[in-house]
Amino acid sequence: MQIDFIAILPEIILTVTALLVLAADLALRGDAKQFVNPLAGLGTVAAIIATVALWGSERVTFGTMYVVDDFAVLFKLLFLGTLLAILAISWRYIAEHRFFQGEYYFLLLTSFIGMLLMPSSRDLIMLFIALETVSVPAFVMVGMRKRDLYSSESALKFFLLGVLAAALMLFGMSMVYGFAGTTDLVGIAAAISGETASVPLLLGSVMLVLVGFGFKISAVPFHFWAPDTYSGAPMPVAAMLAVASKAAGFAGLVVVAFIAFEPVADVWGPMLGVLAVLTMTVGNLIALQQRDLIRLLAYSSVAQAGYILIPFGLARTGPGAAVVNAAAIEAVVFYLIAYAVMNVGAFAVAIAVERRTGLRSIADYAGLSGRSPLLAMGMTVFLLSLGGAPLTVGLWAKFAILEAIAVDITLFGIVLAGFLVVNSVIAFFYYLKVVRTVWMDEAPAGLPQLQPGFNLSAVVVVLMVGTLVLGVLPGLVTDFSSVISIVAAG
Amino acid sequence: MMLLAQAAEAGAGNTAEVLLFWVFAVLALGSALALITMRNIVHAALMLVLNFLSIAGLYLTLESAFLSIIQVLVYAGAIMVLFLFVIMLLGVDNDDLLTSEPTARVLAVAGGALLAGALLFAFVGPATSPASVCGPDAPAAAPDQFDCRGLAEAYGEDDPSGVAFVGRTMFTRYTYAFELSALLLTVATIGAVILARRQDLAPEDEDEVDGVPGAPADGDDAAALARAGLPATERAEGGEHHAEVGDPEPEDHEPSGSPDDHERRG
Repeated sequence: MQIDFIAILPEIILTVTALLVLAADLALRGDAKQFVNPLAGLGTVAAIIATVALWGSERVTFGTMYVVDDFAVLFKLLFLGTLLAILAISWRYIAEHRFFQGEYYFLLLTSFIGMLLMPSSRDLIMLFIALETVSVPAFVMVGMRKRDLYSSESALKFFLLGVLAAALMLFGMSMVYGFAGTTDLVGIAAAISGETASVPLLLGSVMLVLVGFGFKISAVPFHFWAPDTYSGAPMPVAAMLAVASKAAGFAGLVVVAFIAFEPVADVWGPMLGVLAVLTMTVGNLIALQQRDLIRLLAYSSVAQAGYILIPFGLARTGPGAAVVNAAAIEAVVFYLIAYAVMNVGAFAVAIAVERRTGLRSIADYAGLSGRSPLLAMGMTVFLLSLGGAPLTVGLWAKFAILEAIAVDITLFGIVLAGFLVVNSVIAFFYYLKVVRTVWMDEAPAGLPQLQPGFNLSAVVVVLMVGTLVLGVLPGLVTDFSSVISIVAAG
Repeated sequence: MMLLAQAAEAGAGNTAEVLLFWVFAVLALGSALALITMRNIVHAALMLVLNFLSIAGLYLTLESAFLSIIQVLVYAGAIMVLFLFVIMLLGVDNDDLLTSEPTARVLAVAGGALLAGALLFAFVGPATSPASVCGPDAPAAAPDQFDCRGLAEAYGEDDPSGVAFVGRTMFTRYTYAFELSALLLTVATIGAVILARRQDLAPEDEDEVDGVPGAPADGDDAAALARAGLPATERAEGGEHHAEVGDPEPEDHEPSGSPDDHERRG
């Protein structure tokens, strides 16, 4: 069998980088250890180049198990871009806290390798390995602040719930395999189409598989770990979990739902739709009451996961389904890109404020506009965008979802749209509360100077510009009709 | 289980095989039940060994000799021995005997019974009927789809134990997943080293762990804050909240305790 090494080049580059980082950490001493960060950054840039070169081609390798098409490349670029931003915001944070630096970057890179695999996987086994490669390094990274009991507690929670979700998913996968006789996603779709599609056992196993992804994206019945884990983890790790890991979960969910389980979309569609409603409502209502910014961002990210789940609720099967499903996938991809830009930005500002002082409750952001206009501007833009204000990419992200609903209007679609609008209004309340604190409240005396440093400032500026530019010209990333090629497979 | 029994019957029609199936099946289920009900963790681990062994027996009745031997070597052998070593090294006190709330136990039993009932109901219905994809009446093999071959056919004439079959599959279609599991194991090892490492660092790395009490290493800013009369670290993290319907008042936890306490545990 011929292996297409070009197709897996980005993953190979990241793997080599991860191992180099680990070796460099051994060789370097003391303060020099922090230079593993630019090393990891170089590897990421190389991986980005290798990924961009794959755009436009369709490569299939390892049997039919691994497919690199535009859908996968777009996701890979999203992950690698996020990785670059997270590396930049990690540098001083990790160097100052003096964690296990080499190991941290090794684990970070490994986790992203798992994410790169996710949108390309076309086999349940591959999907499971990819999901575990995302999760296992994250378990360790969350617990890295060993001296802090919070960190240990949050790591343990994350680990136990993560393992439970993985076990449930494996159980579901094994039953799907028992039913379909294959782990290949296209093969599963072929096997479960037709009359056999409504068998309760099959539907139960499909639900179990979806649970595993539901945990990853912190959809509502499975969201309990998120706030505690985000607030206990080192902050760059929280940003990684809130953005990249969630996007990876969605990538896997798109692949498994729209390819393998497409014949039963009439069942999981409405179910995920209900989950979307629950997720955004519960996330937003709890976020209203938070006083800690990280916990607020955590619940807001739960709510955002709810918005992204809405297009899944529209999915259907049968004649004419391809148009609806394609629009749904497009909305998911666009929302994820927008979400990554604005949420990484919000975490970057939070890191800049928390660094060296440990201040993280919303009251501590009082008078941020006077202390650091750049950070205040950044926070405002990112939060408004998360809320979906005009002139930011957040508005278009929500618009993309409404557009997907409008493709074929159904009663359920209208209900989902209603919940989306109402929840956006609720979300604005708490986002604006933070913005008001930043601009209107008086800064308490005696606060030390904020020194975000070059990297953090650069990330904040780039993401702020990205949020605004995409807010004015969303067409820059919405035009990817080729991305939804995977629908045809279903 | 009935499905498996049927498979065993259909496979060979051999009474010894059916007999072995029932022996191993009962052993596997019994040891699994014992595993989760035993209060002594060493006994539970031994039950797990028994469970692995009986599953190896089940593989044998399914004509997967190679898989069965690997199961014994890797799981029942290596992994369980490691488990037992860890348990022995940590020591088992009477305090460690596992206890659970009576209500939790009742709920667990009820939930388990419900799940088992639902699964049995679902299995016995469709999966043994002609509707099942690879049921007894399934058509031989559609050309461009997966085929419902039995293991013996998949293995081929020259490979009665399935070694070549497993090898071929693992190093063609599943190569990538196989290599990735190696990466995953590396991550697990490194993670275990990081999280379990105590004070055994090289001297120059010593402050890498000691200087970090959860807050920044150089305390000037923290001290400045304290002077300014602010709560040094207002961490409204509320780690214990389960975020059921919102935690409006995040508690201020004690600052994470002395680092040594944390470190000495375990």
